[in-house]
Amino acid sequence: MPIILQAYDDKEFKVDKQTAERSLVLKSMIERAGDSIAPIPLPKLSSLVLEKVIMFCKHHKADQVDKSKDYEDILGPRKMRNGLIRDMDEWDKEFIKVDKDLLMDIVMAANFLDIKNLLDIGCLAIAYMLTGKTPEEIRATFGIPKDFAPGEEERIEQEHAWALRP
Amino acid sequence: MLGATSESSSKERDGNDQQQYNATLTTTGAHGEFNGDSEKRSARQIPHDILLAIFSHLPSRANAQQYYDRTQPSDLISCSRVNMAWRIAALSTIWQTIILPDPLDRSCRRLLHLLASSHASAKITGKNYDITEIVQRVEVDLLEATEQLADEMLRDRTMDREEPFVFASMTDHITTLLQYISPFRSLSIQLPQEIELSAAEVLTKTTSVPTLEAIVSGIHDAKIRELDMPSPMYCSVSTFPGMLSLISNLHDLRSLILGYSSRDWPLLKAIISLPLLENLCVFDSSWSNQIWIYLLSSLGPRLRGLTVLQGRRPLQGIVLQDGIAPYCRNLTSISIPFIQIMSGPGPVLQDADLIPVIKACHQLQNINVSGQRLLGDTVLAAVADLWGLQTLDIRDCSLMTGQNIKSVRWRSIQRVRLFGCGELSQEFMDLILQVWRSSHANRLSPAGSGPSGVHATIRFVSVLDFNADVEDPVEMGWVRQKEDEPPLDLDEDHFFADWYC
Repeated sequence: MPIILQAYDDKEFKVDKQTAERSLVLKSMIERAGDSIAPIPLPKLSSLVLEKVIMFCKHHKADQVDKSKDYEDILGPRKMRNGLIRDMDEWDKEFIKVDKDLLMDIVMAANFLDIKNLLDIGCLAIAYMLTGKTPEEIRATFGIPKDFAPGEEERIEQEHAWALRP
Repeated sequence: MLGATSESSSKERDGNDQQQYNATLTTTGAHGEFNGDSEKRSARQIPHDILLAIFSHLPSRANAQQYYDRTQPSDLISCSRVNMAWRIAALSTIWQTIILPDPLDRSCRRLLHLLASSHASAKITGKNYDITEIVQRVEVDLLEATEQLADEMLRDRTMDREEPFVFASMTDHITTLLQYISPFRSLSIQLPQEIELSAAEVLTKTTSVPTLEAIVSGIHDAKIRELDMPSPMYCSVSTFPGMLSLISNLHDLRSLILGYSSRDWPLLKAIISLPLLENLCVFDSSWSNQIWIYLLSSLGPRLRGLTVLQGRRPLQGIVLQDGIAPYCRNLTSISIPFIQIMSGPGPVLQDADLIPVIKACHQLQNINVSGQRLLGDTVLAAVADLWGLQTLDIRDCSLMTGQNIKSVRWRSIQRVRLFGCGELSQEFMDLILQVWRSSHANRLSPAGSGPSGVHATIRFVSVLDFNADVEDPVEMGWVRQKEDEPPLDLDEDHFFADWYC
């Protein structure tokens, strides 16, 4: 029985149960819904983001260890290690090559839907983007306003002067 | 915990959003509200927990170490200067663990100055971030300190009298620094893995290492709950100078991770006299069965968690039968994995050794017997009767198959690790899944908690885990990567000894 997920722009996506259950939130909702076939509304997710999330979940169904159909929820062997983007598999690397706004949306969606693997690779990709950037470049990249009080920034620079000294 | 996001986001919600939130409560995610419409977002607010998750991928220890070497500004420091939200998350990541620098290096003074000014500034302004309050864990490597001490003592004793004074005044920085950051929870002391024979001789005749003395003075108010001395190292010094003084000063200690397992009675007495100690983790110890039994009988019912990592000297059955089973009935966690190391002995524990422990300790929640290849289905049958079991690790227990087990009583089971077991019976796996689903359903019942609360309690996607994820002895520090020659000052009784000889 397919599960229907509905994005905030009313676009509907049909997915199989195994794909949907990569999300712990959806898994619990499906379990509670029983045989109901009503679409699951996800009004906080745009169709673009939802489509990407579904693509990820669908691909990672194959991660499951195929002992028996009952054991298909077992997490794949992939483990993220701190700072090692090379540990990502090729598909994930390609998947996560999106613009920064969409990447951030995917991370937020993964957090919201509780999809740990997706959250991991999303955060790792963002961390990778931060590497080697100055605070100004980070603000420019992510459109973050500076909200330090007057004089605060100078004080912070002083605080880390030990790290900035040659 | 990412789940904390929901609270902060709910504070930020205005009235309209609140109505919308209520209307779509059933679709609220595990970790709070999320607006996926990027067009509506001019300035992105990234929740604190996601920032922490992102920052966890940036090297933090290296950053914390920068007060040593003044290298390029780190990524985390750059992040801490983006805006206030990023600053708070980045500083938490950078300063949660600090590594005590060498007391004779200027960096120690620099770090002390940084902490003091942060503390003072936070006190005066009430706005600034107090770094001293973030520190939870302090790590110190005594290798340099011990080598330095040995050098000093080996040198001509007719040196200027001012030299020891300078040394003492420098170690004062360590004391002051620790006092600034107290209370903190966890202290890790890395002992030297290999020292020169001459240095070892000096150390055995020395009553204490100044750095260690300085630490002992500094932790008076630290309320340290966990002491971690993890190195399964070679050390010819029977009881490391000052170690007894350190341990006996830790009155709040709950957890002791001991890579240093000397056979000295004073050390054992110091451990036994810790009034609140409830978790003990020992790496490949050189303790005899009698010492083990004495220790376990003395700790007795206050011991809640026991971890013994075995490689060269496997834990013997008699320790379980005569030490754990009769005395440690309040254990909730027992972890006695066997890790096969190169040319090492095989596991020795048999069913008859472990079963009395399982029957005596009926509060057990976590059991790890991975690699104990002689254990079989009788143990599994006894484990099946534990009501409170949450995690079971029986990887590489090839005699375990679950045959003839007709029921399991686990009410809160979360994970069973099964890689490398024998041919598991379908009935046994079905039983596990059945109890897991039923405990899962209980946790998912709507009584009193929203969806986000529900998911915060679920740790695993499935109960059955067939992943190998075998511990790598080299990675764990059990095995030298270069096994070229034995250390010169090899103690013939040390657990590495027969391996090298």
